Amino acid sequence: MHDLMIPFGPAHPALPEPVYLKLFLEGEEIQDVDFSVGYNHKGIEKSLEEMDYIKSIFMAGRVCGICSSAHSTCYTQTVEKLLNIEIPNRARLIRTSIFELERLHSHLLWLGMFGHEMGFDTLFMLSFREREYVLDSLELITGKRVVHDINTIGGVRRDVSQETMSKVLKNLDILKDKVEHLQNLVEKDPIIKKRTVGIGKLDKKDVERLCLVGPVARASGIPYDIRKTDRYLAYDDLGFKIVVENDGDNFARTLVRIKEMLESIRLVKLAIKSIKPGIIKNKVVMNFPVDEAISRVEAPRGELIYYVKSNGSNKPARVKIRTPTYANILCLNKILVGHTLADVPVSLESLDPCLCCTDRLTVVRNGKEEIIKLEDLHGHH
Amino acid sequence: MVIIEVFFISIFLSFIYEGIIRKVAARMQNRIGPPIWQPILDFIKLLSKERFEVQNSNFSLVSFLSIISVIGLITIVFMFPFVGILNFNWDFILLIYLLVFSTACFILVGFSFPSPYPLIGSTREIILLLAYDFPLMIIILFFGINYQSIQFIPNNLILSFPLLFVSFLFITQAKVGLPPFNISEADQEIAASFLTECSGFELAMFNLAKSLKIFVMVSLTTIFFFNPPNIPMFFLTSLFVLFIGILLRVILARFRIDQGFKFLWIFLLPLIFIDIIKVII
Repeated sequence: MHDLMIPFGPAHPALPEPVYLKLFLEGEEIQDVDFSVGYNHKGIEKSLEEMDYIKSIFMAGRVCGICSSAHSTCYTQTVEKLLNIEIPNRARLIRTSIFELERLHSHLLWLGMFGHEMGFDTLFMLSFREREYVLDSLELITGKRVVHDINTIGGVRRDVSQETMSKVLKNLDILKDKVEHLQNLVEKDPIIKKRTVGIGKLDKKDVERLCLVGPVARASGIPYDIRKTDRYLAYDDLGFKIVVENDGDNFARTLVRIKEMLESIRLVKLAIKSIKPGIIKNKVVMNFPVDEAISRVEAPRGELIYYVKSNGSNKPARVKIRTPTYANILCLNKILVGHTLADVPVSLESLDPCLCCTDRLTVVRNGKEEIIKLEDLHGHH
Repeated sequence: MVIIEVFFISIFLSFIYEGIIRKVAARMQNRIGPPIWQPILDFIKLLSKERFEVQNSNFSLVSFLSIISVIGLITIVFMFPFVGILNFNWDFILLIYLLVFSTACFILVGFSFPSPYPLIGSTREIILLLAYDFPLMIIILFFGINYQSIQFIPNNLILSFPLLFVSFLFITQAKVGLPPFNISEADQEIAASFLTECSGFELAMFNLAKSLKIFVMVSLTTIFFFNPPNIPMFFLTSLFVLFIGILLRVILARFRIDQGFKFLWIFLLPLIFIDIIKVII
């Protein structure tokens, strides 16, 4: 029997996203956690199927506001696999640099949120200030700050001028110092250590059993990174190193993300420096075979999978997205139970959850699954 | 007449102090921040808002507590040396009572609502009260035994009791609920804690009580450890104390309740005893 049930969400100051956690407490200690989503289902897989391949790239970029380019890159990559085409080297390097810049902005945003959950608002403000350098660089390259829309089938949509590249490199030099400063701050702050070390521990076996991905897996000592295993884009040429920590607690997850930022800065610099003149887009004949394709990328939050099935028309017959948070959210029970209520926001944030990506909806009426059609929804109004 | 003047001046000053905290903290965090008079605007706006009576709650008690907590805190201002409305020997006992009273009002608010967030907030505040009130009482009683009345505290005690000053700063942070001790008001965990269900007039009064608490605790620190001879010096010194408080607020993350308790007892109590034993010997 539990003392108290605390509703955590769907609207809660700790989480800007709609998720409903039922926390069963005894005193301040968490005894059990129940989790439900479905407050913000956008039906994006269906809308991808209703657009042609070119338009749906932009829709894929709008699955998530933070890892926009991860989604559109993964989708484009899958479609390119379907068509069996290669992209030019220049386009590959531009995609890689956008991809890594996006990881930088995502991790800086995460670090800020992580500080905020611990009541450390200064860390939040600082990392959001440094994030501006990344957003500025993204704006210089793509013309947009948040949703980049640079991918298209066969290459990228915009070229990068020499001037832009030197500006971005300058931004990255400043950013490197700033990130090192943040790393120093996080590693030496006694209260951050007190709040995170030993909390939300996930050992290697848990990670393997629950199939966790991304920085969460790497913080528990598992060197699993799609950038290394799949060798997509230009990561193989750039000599990418996997960041691994062994403790598996909230502090280790913080360190993994901070070190990944430094690695990302190195990768972007290298990618931009090795961009050589050439075309940015191959000519593509949009002749889709009746086939299916699957492709993965390492989004800032972990492994992102896209599956596309084609029926020969100019629209995909089926698109399936497996977002990283969907895999990671399984460990909630493991990291929350046994700790106090004060650790809930910190542990939850340490997964870097993108709960809108995780939203799934199954309607069960009278014990049976039911399929809701668009007409039914209109009928309710 | 003097009582009414002191009443309004202390309310005005507490808003200004709150505004200074917001502004300076914002500048430290590289933000622009709200104008210094923002708390006054917030207060006026909240007064114009609807009062929402929560079902199954003891709403009349909440309304009563919101007024009483403000009055209790202003009573402390009446004891300050240059105000001198309440001056008698052993007024330190009354001071301890009034300081606990203001916190007790907040705790009772949490228990008046059927919602779990205020409940947890109040429980945490009780634990925290236990943690910071013991060191606080030791310090105040120590001053009480030495000087008998707030009026008789000599100037610049900070030179003889630097460790007491350091501990008093941390206790102030805990008392007014600023980081690293904003445990009972941790909005990431328990929303707005005991004020989650309050609105309109009650919320305005409790916000005022919070600001008054900051004003009272900062002024007490100034009186205990500096006791400046005139009012301008008093404000300069209390701004200095306020600045240290803002610095602690900005550079520290929030403790967990057990860590906060350990910090206040295991770290601060020995510091306090070192300074006190020095006098006894």
